[in-house]
Amino acid sequence: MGGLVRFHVAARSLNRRMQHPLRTRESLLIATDVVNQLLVQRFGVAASRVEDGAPLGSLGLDSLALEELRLLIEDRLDIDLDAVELTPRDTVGRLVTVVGREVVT
Amino acid sequence: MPGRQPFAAAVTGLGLVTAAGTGVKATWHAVAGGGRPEGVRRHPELAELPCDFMYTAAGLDPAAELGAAAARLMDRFSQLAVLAAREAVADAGLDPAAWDGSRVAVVIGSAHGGLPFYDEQHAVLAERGPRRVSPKLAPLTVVNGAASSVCGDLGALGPSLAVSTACSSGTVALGTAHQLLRSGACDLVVAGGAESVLSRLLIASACRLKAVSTRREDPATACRPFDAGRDGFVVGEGAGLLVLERPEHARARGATPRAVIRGYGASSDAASMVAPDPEGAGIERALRAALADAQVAGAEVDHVNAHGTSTVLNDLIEGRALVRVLGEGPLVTSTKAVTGHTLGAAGGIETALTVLALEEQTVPPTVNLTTPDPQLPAGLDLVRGAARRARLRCAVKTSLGFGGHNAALVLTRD
Repeated sequence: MGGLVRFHVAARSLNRRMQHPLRTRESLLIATDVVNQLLVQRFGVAASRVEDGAPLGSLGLDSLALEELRLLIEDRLDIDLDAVELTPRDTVGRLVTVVGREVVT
Repeated sequence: MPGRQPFAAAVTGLGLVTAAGTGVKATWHAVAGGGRPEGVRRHPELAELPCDFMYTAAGLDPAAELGAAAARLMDRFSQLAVLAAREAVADAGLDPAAWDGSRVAVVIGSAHGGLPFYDEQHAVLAERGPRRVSPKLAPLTVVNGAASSVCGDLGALGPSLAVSTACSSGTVALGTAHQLLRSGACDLVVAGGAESVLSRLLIASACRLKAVSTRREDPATACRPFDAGRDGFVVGEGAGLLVLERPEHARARGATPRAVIRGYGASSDAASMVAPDPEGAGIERALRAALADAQVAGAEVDHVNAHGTSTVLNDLIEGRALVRVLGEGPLVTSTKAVTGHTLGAAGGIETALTVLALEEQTVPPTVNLTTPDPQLPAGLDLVRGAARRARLRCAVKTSLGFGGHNAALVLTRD
């Protein structure tokens, strides 16, 4: 059942990207905004430390925090990040990119 | 009984977060003042329940105090514990950056742990499915969440644990800390209780059990320990933590104890899960054991901070047991009308208040006690109306918990 759900989600995500190829920059802006806000407000990260190249682990996020962040982003943007692998070594920039891909503007 | 030397644990620090006030000074001021309780209010979460009110530390925003990074890993009971622990450690004149953390233990009593977060996530599961459930249910809701949060916040590296004996958890935690120090396993213990259970489910069930007061028309007068018109307890949130220390350790660093815990006794009723043993044999055993541990006679006790929950059964059974064991000498009070019944935190909060009574030579009044229950023994000297100044050298804290867990501590000024 899980496999079918993943396929459906992946297909829906691809469908979205095909529908709005020119909205990428806007999607990225929204994703940047939400990720920044959540890191600062919900995880207490100093705003000045949230840079594209910063590994999430260096900002104090362990694997538990990343799962919590995943849910928060999904709820805030009404998207599905289930297929996205997230580790503390991933950077803020990578997170913003993968989130931006799922955002429909 | 094998011979055992009495052990005096120095109380060198106090920390309190209660519905009566944030901090030791504010709480004692409200408790000793004996005015109309201000910490009890109706809550939307409890709307329409026969008991729709609870004692809470209103206006306190623990997340603002602790910062988002720390607070997100603590349900409210843990947050209150960390705030109280910080006050207690500072009060003791200790610097966590400089202490030998491996010699610092943490023992915190809690009856329910992170019930509010559990409730919240249960609703998420039911309404939105398992995929939307938070990954942090386990760390936030386990009863040891307060102890682990305090360890993390302070850098305590010694033994740490939660104690869970329902409403006597805080007292049992302090007794356990007394034993840890006595064994030499540590030099310092941050010990007491923490609880915060604004839970519709829990209170709804307590209403069905007929354990809580239903005096909805005037919540401030609902909790009335030992009063003829009492009809049940009123739940409260809070944290009360003490720094207990080996006396040589305190002396070596020039710390003056605020009081001394000389004895601890505990017992089990082995009977009902919710009602105390009708003869009070259980609390009597715990009290006698504490006195024997301290090598103090019942007649030497000047003050008792009683469990006094405002239930019909507890107050009567406890009142009779106190007179049986201690005679008519001690000044008895229950401070629950000002703080609420803080469940696992009660023993911690109320032992701290007992320390303050000894320091101030003042017994706080039992608020809302207007007509003592005529069935109580005539010799039970209940302090009501205003606080009473008296020569207090020795005091006792008694607690009785659901499941028949009884505990008592004996404290002296020095």
